[in-house]
Amino acid sequence: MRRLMIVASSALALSACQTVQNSAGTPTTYQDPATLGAVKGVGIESQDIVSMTDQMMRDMLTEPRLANAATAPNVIIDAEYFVNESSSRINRNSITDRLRVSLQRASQGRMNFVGRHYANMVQSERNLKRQGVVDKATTGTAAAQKGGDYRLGGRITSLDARDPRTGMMSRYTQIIFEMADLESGDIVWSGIYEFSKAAADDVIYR
Amino acid sequence: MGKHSAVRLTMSVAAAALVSACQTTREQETTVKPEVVHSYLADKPAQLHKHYFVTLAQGQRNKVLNDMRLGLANIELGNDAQAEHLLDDALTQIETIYVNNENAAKARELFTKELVKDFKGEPYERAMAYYYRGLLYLKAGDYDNARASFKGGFLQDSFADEAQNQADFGLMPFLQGWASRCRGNTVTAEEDFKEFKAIRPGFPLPGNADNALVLVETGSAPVKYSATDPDSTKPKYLKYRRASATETAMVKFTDQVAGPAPAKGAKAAAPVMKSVDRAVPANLLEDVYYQASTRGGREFDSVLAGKAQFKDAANTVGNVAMTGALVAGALAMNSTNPQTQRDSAAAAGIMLLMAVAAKAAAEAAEPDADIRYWDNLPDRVHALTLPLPPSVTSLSVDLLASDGTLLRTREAKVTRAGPCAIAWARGESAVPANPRAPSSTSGQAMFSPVVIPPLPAPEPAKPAPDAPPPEPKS
Repeated sequence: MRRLMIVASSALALSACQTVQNSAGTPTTYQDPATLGAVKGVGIESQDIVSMTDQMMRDMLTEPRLANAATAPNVIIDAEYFVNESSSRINRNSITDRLRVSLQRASQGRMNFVGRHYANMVQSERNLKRQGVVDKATTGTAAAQKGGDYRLGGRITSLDARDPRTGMMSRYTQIIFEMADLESGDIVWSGIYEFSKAAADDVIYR
Repeated sequence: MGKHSAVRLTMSVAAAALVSACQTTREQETTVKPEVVHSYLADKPAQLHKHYFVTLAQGQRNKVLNDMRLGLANIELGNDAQAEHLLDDALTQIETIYVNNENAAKARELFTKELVKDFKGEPYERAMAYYYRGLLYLKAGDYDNARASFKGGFLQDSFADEAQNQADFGLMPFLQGWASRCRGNTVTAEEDFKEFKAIRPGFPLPGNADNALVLVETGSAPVKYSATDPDSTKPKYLKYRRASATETAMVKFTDQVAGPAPAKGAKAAAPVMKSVDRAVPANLLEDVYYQASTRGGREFDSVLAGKAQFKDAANTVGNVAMTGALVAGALAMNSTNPQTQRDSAAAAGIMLLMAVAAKAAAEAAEPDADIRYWDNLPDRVHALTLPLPPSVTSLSVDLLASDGTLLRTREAKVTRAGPCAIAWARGESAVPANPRAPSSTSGQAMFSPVVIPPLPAPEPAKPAPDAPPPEPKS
């Protein structure tokens, strides 16, 4: 009888208890953006951007019209004509910025890079110089801002599939890069990067 | 097995059941230091301080739920940057694949409630998170990411159990098509609208001259509750009820049109513009309750069914053991044989303990579905596309009952950031009345007032050691 009382009182006491989850948290760690991160999904992630832009940069440098011309061509690499038609939300600048910076560093003067995304900033300074508000600085004046010989275009597309029975979700992502001649419209270089990812969430989320 | 061993075993089972039921409780709100709270709230809109405080106190388990609620409330308050941040955060977690997650594993355990898991929402809630993020992209003129968001929302609907209800969230392909059209991408726009037409054949597509999208949301969110159909062949524990009556919307604005052409032979002059009042009905584009309630059974319902079976079985065992204890007790009392009395009393004691253990285990089993829900969602979404001149900067939206009675009028501000304009209106406020989402914490705490702890009073400055003592007051 005494034991029964103990069990009953424990039951009462325990059924009233509630513990608080006091997660200690995770300290900040640096991660290699070229490797699979701690948070994973099926969309475009940092390792994809690093791998893709490295591959495109190397490939572009093998194209003689871009990297071995008698006169270094003026190229524009920005996200203006880089379209995202995939189901991944992404800041397209994160791809084109990395590509431009990597190319500029690796090409070592074999290509000139025109910062068309800075056109307003440049124009504003040119106006100030010509109005005499500021001096002419040290590199001299130019008749006009540089035009581009080639400009980057591209498209991100994806194909998604999901098996409602197993919860398995897959996404094939294809990213194409093209460099177009800004006079003739010729595509002088193109590259493609593709990957497919599949994963299934825990059953509690299906 | 001896009597003592049986007693010890029974007590252990009962204790284990109770203890395991307690250990996994993540429902309580944590105490946050006032300094942390005030620092966190410093850049948040004052109207939502209590809601943000709840987000902080409820932590990771309800992070997505609170982000969704606050994201939507911030859209209504015009804090788009805050809303973008919150919805991005929610979508990042929704898109994260949970593998070998400790709390997800706990939710599957017999003595643990489903709601201990991190909230990621049901497919309709996830889809609506993508929808609102897409609207913010549309407002900002980022049509690529707007389309990607709507497409992401559409994919969430492929979770439906019944094939006919998979990928029927018409709102998403319609808005995908609109975003493609605004981007100037006619090929994808055509594909998106074709997909939409397969779902909603009767809904009008945007006209060639249409440059504005008007979205009107009416009613309150579908309400979740936990129950099962005893006659159903498939277990289904998560159910919904509609919380609102049917409402329709009439969009009104004043247009400027050219007056009548001058008569023949009259001097050519600048055309005279005249104001014309227009009223255009918005069509029902999506029924959120329908999307919630037609999903069918979830895979997790099978796990809940297992828990429910255990609960029933344990209850039955408890009842049988209790009856046995009563019979044995009666035998012990009525018998004149001392040996029979002793044996019957011992048996009654063991069976009583077994009954207690079984009942405790049954009580501790948690077959209820997770009924936390996004409570500031609308019931229905109405839409309209039209050619809107730049002079129109706001629209008046009449919300009508099903019999045409005017219920209320709202203003919808027209935002233009690219070639297309967007206007959005809500029938009911998107700021939740209760800072806590439904069922987001344990029963009692749900109804306790949300009190933001005040900052501790600053300590009085200590006098410098060489300063003269203060003069006594006369």
